[in-house]
Amino acid sequence: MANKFFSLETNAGEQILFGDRKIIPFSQALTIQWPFFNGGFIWNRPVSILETAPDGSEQVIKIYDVTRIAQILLWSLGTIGALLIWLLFRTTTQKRSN
Amino acid sequence: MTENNTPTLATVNPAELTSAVDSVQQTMSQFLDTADVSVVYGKPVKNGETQIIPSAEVLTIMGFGAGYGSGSNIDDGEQNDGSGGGGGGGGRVLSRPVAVVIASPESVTVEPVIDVTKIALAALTAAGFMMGMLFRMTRGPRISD
Repeated sequence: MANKFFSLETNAGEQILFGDRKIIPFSQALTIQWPFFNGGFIWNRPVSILETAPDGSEQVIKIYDVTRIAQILLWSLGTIGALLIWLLFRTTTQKRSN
Repeated sequence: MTENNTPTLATVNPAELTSAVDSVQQTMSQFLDTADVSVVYGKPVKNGETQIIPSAEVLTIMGFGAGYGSGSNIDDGEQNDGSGGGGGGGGRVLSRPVAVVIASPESVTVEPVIDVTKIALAALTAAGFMMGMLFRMTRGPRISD
């Protein structure tokens, strides 16, 4: 049992063979354990795979979470858009009062 | 007359204490196992010469505790001893598919899994936020008494 409050680790899985090709999957786990209680929080996600071709060449293929990226972009767009609307109306109101 | 004595570890039943500690350690160990890479990647599925490996994001949150206590009191000259223990906890595991690894003899590709519902909900939230701000700003200043 690890007694760490916070850890961010990249773990390699077992290699998968198919024909002459090999794949090693990698995942990243963020672990937070409550300092004074039992329990905690673990966020484990796939990050990449390492592919070894029959000629021995290696290639890292990243795994992107498209849904998460789209969500973050849209929420950022909403926040920035709302801020711009507020700024635009604020400057217009200030100009009118002057 | 009633006297309350502070419970000490000496009065605790060792078997029950060991059982509680074992239970907590086992639960904690199972919880930490979710940080393993095998949790994120599924077993390869064969389809002819192609293999498909599903991958998912796993989020685990939990908390639990256990306690044990004992005590004794003297009531009307008679000593009564008692002990008890208990524990409880709760947690949640959330899993969401992220991508599918497609391995064929020619190449290895990663196809993302797109959750259209989540993206649509995020778009609606963003639009609602901007519309709310627009409505608030066009309404003009509030006139107070």
